[in-house]
This record gives sequence, structure tokens and C-alpha cells, in this order.
Amino acid sequence: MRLNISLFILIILVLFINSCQDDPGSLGNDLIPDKDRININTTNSLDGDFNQYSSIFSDSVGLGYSNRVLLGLYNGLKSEILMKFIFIIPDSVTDAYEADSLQILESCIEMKPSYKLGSTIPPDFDFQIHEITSAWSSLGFSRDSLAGLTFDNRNLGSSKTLLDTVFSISFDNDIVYKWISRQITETGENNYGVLFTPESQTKGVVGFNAISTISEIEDMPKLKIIISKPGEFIDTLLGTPTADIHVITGDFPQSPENNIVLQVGYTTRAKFVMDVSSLPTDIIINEATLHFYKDTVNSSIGSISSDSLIISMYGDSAQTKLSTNFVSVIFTRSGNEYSGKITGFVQSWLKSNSNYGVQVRLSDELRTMNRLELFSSSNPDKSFRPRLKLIYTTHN
Amino acid sequence: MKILKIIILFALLSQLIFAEGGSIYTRYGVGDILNTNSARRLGMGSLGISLPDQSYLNYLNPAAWSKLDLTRFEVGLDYQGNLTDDAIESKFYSNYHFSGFTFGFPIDKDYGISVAFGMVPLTNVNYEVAESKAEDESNPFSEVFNLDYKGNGGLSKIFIGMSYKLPFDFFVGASFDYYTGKTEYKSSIDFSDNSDFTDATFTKKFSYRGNGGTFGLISSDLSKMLAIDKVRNLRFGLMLNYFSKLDTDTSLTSSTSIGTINNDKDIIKTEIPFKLGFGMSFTWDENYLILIDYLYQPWSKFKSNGHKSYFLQDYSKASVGMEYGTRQTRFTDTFWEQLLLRGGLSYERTQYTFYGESINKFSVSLGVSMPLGLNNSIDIAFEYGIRGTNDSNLIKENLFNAAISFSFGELWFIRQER
Repeated sequence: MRLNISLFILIILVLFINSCQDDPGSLGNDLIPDKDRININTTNSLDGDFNQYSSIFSDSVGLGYSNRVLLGLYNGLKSEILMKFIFIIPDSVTDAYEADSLQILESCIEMKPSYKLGSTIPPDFDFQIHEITSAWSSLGFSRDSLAGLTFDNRNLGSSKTLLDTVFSISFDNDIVYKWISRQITETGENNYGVLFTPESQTKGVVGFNAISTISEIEDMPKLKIIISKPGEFIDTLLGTPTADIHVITGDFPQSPENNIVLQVGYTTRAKFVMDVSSLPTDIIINEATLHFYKDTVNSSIGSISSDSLIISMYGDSAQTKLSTNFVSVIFTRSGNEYSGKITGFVQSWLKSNSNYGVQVRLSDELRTMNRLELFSSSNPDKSFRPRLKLIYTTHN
Repeated sequence: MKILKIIILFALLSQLIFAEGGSIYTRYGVGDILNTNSARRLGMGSLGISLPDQSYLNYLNPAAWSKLDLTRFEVGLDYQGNLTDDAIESKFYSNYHFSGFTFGFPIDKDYGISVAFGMVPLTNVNYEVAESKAEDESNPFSEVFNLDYKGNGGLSKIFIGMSYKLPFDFFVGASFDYYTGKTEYKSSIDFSDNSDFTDATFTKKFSYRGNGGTFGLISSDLSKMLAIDKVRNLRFGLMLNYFSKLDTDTSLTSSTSIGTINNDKDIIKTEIPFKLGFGMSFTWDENYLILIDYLYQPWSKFKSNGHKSYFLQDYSKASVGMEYGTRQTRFTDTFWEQLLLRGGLSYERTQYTFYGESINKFSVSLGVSMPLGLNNSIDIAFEYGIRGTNDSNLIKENLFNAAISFSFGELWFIRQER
């Protein structure tokens, strides 16, 4: 009994006395030995003269997922649109067709521009519309797929009105009748849609909302058809896209200044390596920021800018696979500079002593035809080259 | 069962209690030297080299076990409060540590053969210094951050030994000691939770292991030579504690944005200097026990990886202690008759020296032993000490130590005469 009481009193005393103590302060700071002291250091790749390397390559992305389709010619690249329409056909129209009394009075394609690059006003912007005669799918369609596509050379578009807010193109009524017939009877020639292709004198690119967007139907391209059953009705039939994609072809984008060229649509990306091996390996990185500088003269940015990059760490020496240990980092634009924190990347390079660099790409590679040029690692002016800024902590 | 309960409680208490801060002096060497794990010894100045004791186990001098009359077990808990100040500010820190356990039993009382073993702490490292850096031009982070330096750990000794009674009533003892322990020193930079900067922590760890031995000698009763009636049991004692070079695993751990990075470094040698002690004890007028002791340890010879420290000097301690109470208890004695009261004074030239200043400590202690049934006792001791100086921007400390020990005695292993 006496033991239990003693132990109980002891516990209470211990807890009470333990609560009566101060938080640690700077008292005794002068007696901390130098070998325990933390040193804070700053450096950057310019002052530290780090080696760096950059190169660009072409990759493929599924343009069928884009929420915008692009048409035009710019910077040596051509963008063509493939589009297929489906119609909402009421019974009265079906009855009229079956009674062989359906007439197509007028057909018109309306498309509202949601993106512009370069000169998009006639005569600097013009295009033709051709009937596609072979099957295609927007899933997996690439510029290589164009070689297997067949189309009729006849230009189905006429009388174009290309305004700032809407493009209106008169369309071939016979083709429309054929598509409606196919949709009602499910027999006859297939409806493979049309190919929009820019004329050679075009000096710009226009983008239109695609079916993967969540826009209202009002903002979608549509085929407006004025139909009639003589003596009975005149009505408007609406055709909306059931499949669409744009394909960009041309020569691989090059930069006479050896810049890093990030071309949307053609999907060029960059491989970039910043050699940090000159740093001590047992440091702790408090912050590492990487900066890319835009070449404003040679970049071509349309009505929708490219304001962010995605930086991903490579996981292999061949730079073919991205590391699964790190999430990609978003770099945002401030003025003519794109920057972001890659603290974990740099720490990993120091720890593992293997630095496979990063992949640089635009965050939006589908919806515009912007060309972003960044000064590369070989720029003669070192201050324009990509720059890594570090704050790190060392221990004596 | 009650012994187990106490061990678990003490061990848990010392682990669960969150201790912050302590003496920055413990950063040097392997920390503060703990000369005793016993509240009894603490109450009398911490030493007691020449005292053969039938009711307590003194690991400082194995020869002292020769008088054990019962199997004995001792366990304890220590508290240290530290009111530390420089010329500008003061702080109060407290911490607890489990003061280990000792177990001993007599084998042959006629020959003074007893065996004892145990685990006791030898040194203690505990400090924390924190500094806040303002948001100013010299600050590369452009925001407030904290620097924190923290140390903890210490050395412990696991020992097993025995005593023996030599001719002419001299006692000798020896123990085989195994030294183990870990010290950890953390240096960190901390930012606020919503900061974009990554915290950084460097942790240096030293893990020690090695062996050594303790040898002790206690003289026979020389009181007859003095021919003073009131002086009895006059004994002199001598002890030597030897440390082999301790193998020390070292590592540096970095806490980074991608997790903890371990860098195992080398295995180095840590050289702890020997400890040498002399003492004298006697009883005065039956009820007063007097101890006078001196301990020496040349910490200037301490080496870590072959390097000496400029902040360590030779250590010495002189103490005087007294215990008052009935030396022979009987079953019929009351609680108050069984109480033992203790007091002590000591002066230490600690092992620390900075900027030509020696860090010295003066202490006064009090203690009491209370019976806890037959052959068992609770010992409580308090020590107040002043250590250091504010000269040369050093730290002066008011140290408040307290200890509680439980000593249990039972009759085991004694062959009954038939």
C-alpha cells in the first residue's frame, strides 16, 4: 500500500515539475561548436558555371482529345481538319425522304473562331473543303495517317464569309442529301465527313471548338440545312460534328538560333540536363528553381497564350522514360520567364549521383498552334541560358 | 512483481516525459559525468568509495559488495532541473532519466564473496538551443526561419563483478564492464508550415561499444590505530575504472525534401580516460557515518578519432558526506527510528573549459532513507549545485538534482546450515 501511494505521488510530482520548463531559446548559442553550425549558401548555374545541355525532339500526342480543331498555315506548318457530321432528323423529314419529296434548298457550314494566329483575314486566309472517301477515326490519328486518307478533289465549299466572329461557308447540297439518305436508310455511300485544307497563300491559323469541349452547341461548328417538302413545310436541319480532329504536318521545327522550340500540335519537346555534380553531395537543398527565358522575337503566340510548361524528371539514361518517383512540376510564366521549383529533383540528383535531366513541354500541346522558343543551353550569351538557382544548407 | 512494476514505471516515465533543453556544456566530450545512480550516494556527495555496505550496492567500488547480507535489488529515477543564465537571459529546463538498476547477492559471507551486476548510466548529453533569424537583407530566404541545435544521449555501463575478502580483513573487488550508448547531435533549419522552402536537418550519430573494468580495494577497520573511542569502522578505499578504446559507429543523416538520406561514415575509436578514486569512511559516535572522497579523471586525454578536444580538461571531485541514523535496525524499531538522514558537500572541477575559464561546480545535498517493509527502503535525495560562470560570455547554471531509489533485500541463494 505504501509503495503504491509513493509511486502515485511520484508520478504526479514528475508530471507537474516537467510542465514547469521553458521552451529552448538562444541561451548558449555562442557555445555551439563550429562543426555543428549550419551554413546557408546560395548559388546559380551562371555564377557556378554549371554545364548544361538541351535538345528538342518530336513526340506524338492524341490530337483527337483536343477541344479545339485548327486550320491554317504558319511557320511552315499546315493544319487540316477532318470532320464528320450527324443530323437530328425528325419524322417529318424521314417521311418526306421516303416519299421522295425532300428537297435541300441550302447548306451552310458555320464555325466560330476561338483561336487565331497570324493573319486570319482574306486574302491571307483561305481554304477548301473536300469529301473524305476513306474511313478514319480521331482516336490514334496522326500526321502519318494522312498518307492513307483518300478524298475527292472537288471543293465542296463556296461563297465564304469569314468574319471575326463566325465563318460561314456555303456547302454542296448533293453531298448533304447523300449523307441524310445514308443516315435514314443506312445504305448507300458511307459518310466519312470532310477535310478542311488551307490554301497555299494562307498566312495564319484559326481554331474552332471541337466536340470534346463542354461548350454550348451554339459555339460548335454546325452544318445548317434548309430543307423543304414542297407544299408542306420548309425547315432547318442541323448537323453537328460526331468526330473531328486536326492534323499538323510540315518540316520538323528548327531554330536558326538553336533555341529550344516547343511547337504545339507538332508536339516538339525538349530534353534538358543541368549538371550539378560540382556541388557537394551531402548538402540539403532548401530551394531549387529553374528558369527558362523566352525568345520573344522568334516565338509565335496566338490569341491564347502558352503560359505554363510541364517539367518531368527522366528516369533512365536514354531519356525515354519519365521517373515514377517524382510528379511533374508546372512552371508558370512571369513576363518572358518560365520558372518553377525542382527542389526534389536536384536533391535526388545529388543523392543518387545519376542525373538524367528533365523533359520540357508545353502544358497545352493540343489546342493552339503556338510556337514557343526558349533560349537554349548553347546560347552565346550565358545570361540567356536556362538558369538553376539554389539555396542550400551545409554542415561543417 | 512489485520490482518489475517499478522498473517498468521508471523506464516508461523517463521515455514518455518530453524533456527540452539542458546544459549546453554537455555537447562536449560525451556529456556530463554521472558518478552515482543511487539516491543514497547523491545525498552524501555522490561518491562513497571506501564504504562497504550491507544494504546498498555501490557500482563505483566493487570491493564494497563484500558486506552484502541479502540479495539486493536497486532501481531509481533521477531528475535534473537547470536554471541557466548568461548576462542577458535565463531559462529553466528539466529532464528525467532512468538511473539504471543493480542486482547483487552474497555467496559466502565469511569470505566476503558477493556477485553483482547491473546497468547504469555513465554520462548524459541533453541540450537544445534555438535561434530565430529575422527577415532582413542578410537573410537569403527573405522570411523568418529558425535554427535549432539539439543533443541527447549518453554512455551506459553494463557490469558484472564480484568481491572477495582478503586476509587482514581487506576487501577487493572487480567487475567486467561493457560500455554502450549513443549520442546524437541535430542541427536543423526550420521554416513555417506554409513556407515554400524545405526544412533541413543534419543528425550526427555516434554509437559506442567497448569494454573495460573496475577494480576496487577497501582496507580493514583501522580505527583501533587511532585510539579514538568515538571513531569506528575507519576504512580507506581505492578504485580504478579502466576504459578500452570504444568502437564508435558514426553516421550523418540528412532530412531532405525527398526523405532521409543516411551516410554511414567510419568506425572510429573513442578514448575515455581512466577514473581513479580515493576515499575514507568512518562512523562517529555509533550513529554518524562520515565519508570523504576524491575522484580524478584526466579528460584532457579524451580523444575522438584520434583528436583531442580543446574544451576538455582534467576532471576532479572532492566530496564530504554524512549519514545519521541507527546503524543496526531491529524488528521493533518504529518508522522514525529507522529513518536515515544524509547530507553532503562537494566541489568539482568539471571536465569543461572555455576561453581559459574552468567550469567548476559547488554542490550541497540532502537525503533521507525511509523503510519500506523489512529490508527494503526508499531513498530520496536532493542536490543543489552552482556550475559555471558568466565571465567570458559563458553560462552559469543553478542545478537542482533529485533522485529516488528503491532498494529491495531478500534472502536468496543462502545455503541454510543443517
